Amino acid sequence: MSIAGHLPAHHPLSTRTAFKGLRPLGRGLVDYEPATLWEIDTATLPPPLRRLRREARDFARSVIRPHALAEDLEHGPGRDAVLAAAARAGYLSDLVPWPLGSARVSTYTRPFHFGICLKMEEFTAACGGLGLMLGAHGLGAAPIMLSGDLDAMRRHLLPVVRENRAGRPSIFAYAITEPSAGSDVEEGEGASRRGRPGMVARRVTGGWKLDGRKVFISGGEIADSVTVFAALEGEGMASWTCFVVRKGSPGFSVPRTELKLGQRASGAAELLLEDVFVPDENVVGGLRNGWAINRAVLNYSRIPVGAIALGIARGAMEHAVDWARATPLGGKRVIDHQEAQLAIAQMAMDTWAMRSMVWRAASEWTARQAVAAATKAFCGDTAVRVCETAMELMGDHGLLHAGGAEKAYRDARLTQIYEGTNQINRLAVIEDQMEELSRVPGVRLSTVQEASA
Amino acid sequence: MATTEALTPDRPAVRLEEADADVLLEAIATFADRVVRPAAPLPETPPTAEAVDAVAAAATELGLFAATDPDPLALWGAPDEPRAVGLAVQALSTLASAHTAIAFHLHQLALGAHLARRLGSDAERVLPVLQGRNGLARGALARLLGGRPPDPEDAALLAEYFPHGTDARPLLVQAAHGWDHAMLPALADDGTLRWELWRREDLRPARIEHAHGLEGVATWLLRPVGEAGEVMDADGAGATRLLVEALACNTVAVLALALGALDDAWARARRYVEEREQGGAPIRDHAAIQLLLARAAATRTLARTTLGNCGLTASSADDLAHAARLRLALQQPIAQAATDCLQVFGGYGYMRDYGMERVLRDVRHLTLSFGSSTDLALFVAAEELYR
Repeated sequence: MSIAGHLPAHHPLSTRTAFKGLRPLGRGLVDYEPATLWEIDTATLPPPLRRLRREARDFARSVIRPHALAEDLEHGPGRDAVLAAAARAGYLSDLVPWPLGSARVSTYTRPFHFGICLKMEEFTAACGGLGLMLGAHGLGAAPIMLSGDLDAMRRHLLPVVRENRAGRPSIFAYAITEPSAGSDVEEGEGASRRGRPGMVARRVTGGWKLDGRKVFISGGEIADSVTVFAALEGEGMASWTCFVVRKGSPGFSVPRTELKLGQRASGAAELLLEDVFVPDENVVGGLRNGWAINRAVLNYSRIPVGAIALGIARGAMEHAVDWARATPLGGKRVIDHQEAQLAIAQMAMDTWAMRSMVWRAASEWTARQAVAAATKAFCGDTAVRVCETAMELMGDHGLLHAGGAEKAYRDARLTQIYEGTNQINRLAVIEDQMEELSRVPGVRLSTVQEASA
Repeated sequence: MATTEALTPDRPAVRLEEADADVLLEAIATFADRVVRPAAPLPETPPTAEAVDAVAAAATELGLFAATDPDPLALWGAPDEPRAVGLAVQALSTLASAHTAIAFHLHQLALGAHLARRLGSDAERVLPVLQGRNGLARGALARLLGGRPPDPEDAALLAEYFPHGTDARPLLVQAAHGWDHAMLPALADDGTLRWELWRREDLRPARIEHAHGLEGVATWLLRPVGEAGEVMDADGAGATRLLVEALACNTVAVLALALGALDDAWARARRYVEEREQGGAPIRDHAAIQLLLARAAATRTLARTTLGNCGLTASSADDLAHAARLRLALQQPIAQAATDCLQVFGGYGYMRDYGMERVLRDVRHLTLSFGSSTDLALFVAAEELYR
């Protein structure tokens, strides 16, 4: 097994052979057995997380991947099958640790979102859309988890976790975006200038009545519970409050799901709330704390979005490499051509850089805005580049849906847009570093200042 | 069988008056608005085969396709005349700004008709097949067209570009439904190049349902196996010259179509940035948006200036080399500019009913068809280094 342009492993000048000839100490220092990049990275993890990564990959390959292409074209039975299997496997109840949920406590040597990142990379390597469908559930539940509101956790999170543990999928969705406000709900300065919020909560006896529309809600059409953010009547964005709204509540409807470029297995729904009554106990984290909760959720979710981008990119690379291994060109395989090897190496480098950043970012227990936003923006942009390279490698075969790379490209493009466009995420880095960045410049800059005075 | 005379007729001198070109371009702009755009009124719904055929019929009436050779006012009616090529670039980009896939079809019909005319065939609705199994044969084609006898490695690559004989692996081509014949370049056993006219049914076309971009144009697998193709010309030099010309026209056309698609994206983005607000102000006022659109504007200007004002012709080996270099330089920036235009829409850009994502796919398609950037780079390198 060798590739054109490279020495076979048994050649005396190959490192595979040459290292074996060193003295034992030297061999111990430099020699190693061949391993895939996936195995090399996995080996750096603590054993429980290695297991988590391996199991997620097996699940993705056996359950998600077989439905990926069909669900991208049209919603069929695949989504339900994947949801049911994910519930049975514990992937919808791992929001909380055992014994209440299915997350293994042993994985908490790293922050809980580290495990989410491992999972999301594997799921989205198989299918960006189905991966998002599963991931959006965790996003919908995140406001409850991050609010510190134990009552809300008991009342709203645990019953859902119990249902999922029993193998009956029960899904959360996260609803912040409004028709006239995409970036304004993801960025403080814009929110502060915003006029009338679109979703308003009016006080009534025993609770609130919510009125307004939310758009582009991932998984909104299949969600049983939605964490909806609304301003209190007569107040601005500072009054934003998080409410848990149940599917089937009178006045709640899903008038539309979008036709999207990619990640199509996961719907982007419009939610219409017409005087939907929400009892007081469905307020999460207290009145007027919605903005803080929202920003916290974005800090925690943008790192997994980086992992989604990474997974999609890896999936594209795998499709392209499979094609290059199998396709003859000019009497040899495509992979035997040097230009193809350069493209593959570039994709491997890019995905490795993304993974390094995601794992580093997810290793901090508190998700910082600058770190999360930088990870999301870098990975989103890099993922699109990797997918372009994968399609480029496959040439006009890269245009075929069946080849997988074009779907990955369409899927990846969304990671530059959702959870704040990558422009908004770059500005989020600045906002979070404002103390450092607005500091009075040091002496070394004095010459420049004098020159500009 | 046609003879090589068909390729080198005693052609009258071509002279295209600027005023004539202006009138025609105005007519094409009107045609794009009134005929092409309504053929696919909803961005999320591709045009039907009937609608595409109707546009092609209307284009024939308009005089878009040449009736004589040469005809500088028709699309690809005089590839050796700079103004006629400039006219083709402008016509195609205008049509593509209304609908890229339909414009692509009109280009193919025009080029197919041009090939048929030059080869003395009266076949109609001829699909030019200029793409091998994997693009442009990684430089081997450029070396062949430059007169370099193929070494064994090039011969193996050329066997992919000219896939005849017993190899049953199919060719992948993009074409609207409306074609009856295909014109394929072929390499005879003795190494001479020739053209073959195949009837559609002899190619056993199989449609691939789902592909990226150019919706309205289908992707087909063709199997040119056996002896069913009618040999059009036995003179290798003439056939080679015609392949060079066809490739040059096609290369220029792909760029012009991509530029037109970018024009469409630009116009939509330009409107949107004034309507949409963020932070209480039109998003036009944000530097983040300005940077995206400034890059797109610069790319449009660069592409339009380069393509429109350089006296490009599309008939000689030098023309082909020039066109390939231009495409290599411009195709990726155009694709990036289209994606920048989409980005200003945020979430709405990702939704099919806003039309931006279609442009993105169309431009990506054009980046990969007829040689990916890598393939094109190797073509250019071969032309530069082995000439």
